[in-house]
Amino acid sequence: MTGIEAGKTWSRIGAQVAPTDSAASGVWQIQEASEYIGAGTWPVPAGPVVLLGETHALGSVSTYTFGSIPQTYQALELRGWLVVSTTAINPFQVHFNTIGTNDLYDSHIVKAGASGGVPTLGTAGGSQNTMRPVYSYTVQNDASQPIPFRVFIPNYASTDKQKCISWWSSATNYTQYDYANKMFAIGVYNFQRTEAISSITVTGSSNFQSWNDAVGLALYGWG
Amino acid sequence: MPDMEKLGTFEQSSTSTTNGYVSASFTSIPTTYAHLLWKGAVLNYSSSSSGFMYVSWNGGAYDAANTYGSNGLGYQGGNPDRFIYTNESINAFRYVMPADDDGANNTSNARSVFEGWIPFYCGRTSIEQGPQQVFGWAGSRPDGNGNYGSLTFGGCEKPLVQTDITELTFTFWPGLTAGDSITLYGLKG
Repeated sequence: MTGIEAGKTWSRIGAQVAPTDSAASGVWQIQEASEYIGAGTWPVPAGPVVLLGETHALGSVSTYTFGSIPQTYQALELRGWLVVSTTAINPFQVHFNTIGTNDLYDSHIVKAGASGGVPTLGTAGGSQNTMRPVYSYTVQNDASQPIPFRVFIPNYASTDKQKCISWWSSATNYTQYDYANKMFAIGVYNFQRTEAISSITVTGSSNFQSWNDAVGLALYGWG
Repeated sequence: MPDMEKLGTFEQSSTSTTNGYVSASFTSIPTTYAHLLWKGAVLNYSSSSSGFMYVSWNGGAYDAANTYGSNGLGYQGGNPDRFIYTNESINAFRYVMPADDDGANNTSNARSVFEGWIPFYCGRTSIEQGPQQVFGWAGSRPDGNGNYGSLTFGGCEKPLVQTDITELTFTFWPGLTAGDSITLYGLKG
């Protein structure tokens, strides 16, 4: 509407309310702006890191997809926090663009719980169509031990280069709450395609489940 | 509120050659984000001693035993190269070799770099949300010849403890060099 359009030199800042016959939106006072900023509700420019999507599922779910990913960032980052509902050695996978052919390469190194004070080191690699952040380590059905993982995907929007995706994860085996029963894994996933990555799907081997607002999946774009 | 915000920066103003523990703390961390992240770079001033760093929280002593579980996995460049790993019960996550001997010349100013993540550092109200966990990774240059690199990756948790993390302390040994810095971020999601 003329007179209150955003971006004009004579416009007001903040949310606009169209005037009626009996009332018109006033100019924001500095105190009001401060209060909204303090409350986290004042509109601000999207920063160099933007939360593109998130889920905090209640109850048991088996898969979640971030689709239609904007192609306007330099990199993507996926952070997850999951609990499995069934004991599994490969509790979940991350799938890009729902590619079905096993011609993508997943390799990683794992440090598992200690035996006699010496932890087990293992490596794995193979042609897969999915990335497997907790492969080769048995994770028990333990509600109190969520599995955190982080995936970094630079250059995801390119259409003429393959993508090298790095990840790491952590898990605890059963209810042994000590340092000797924990695993860490770090790895790289070669997305041997030149197509842009436009969707990411996290799938449980059995169901994974997340219970509340403090567990879930979040996808970020890095500018 | 942006999706990611810088909460604070620590920068060492002068070189501390105490040959002991030097700490830097972030206090009164707001509880309005989902995750805490940090990035930093430190240079071990010593020409003879390897260095390391602890991360502890909420005023906990970095060296208190038997309450935390800490794990690390890494690679140490050398002759020969080798894997390194830790299993410890200490009150912090210890970066195995974030700062290391820069050799007798100590002229390269090749700082070690590190990052970390505390997922869902506040608002844990049921055991299903798990205990507080800290994760991080670091890379360093281990000697003055510049031929090798090292990296480490690991984490720490305090079983069954879910208290909001409002204070983070980084403790370095054997000291800090002027210009060393750590930046703390809050992240939504």
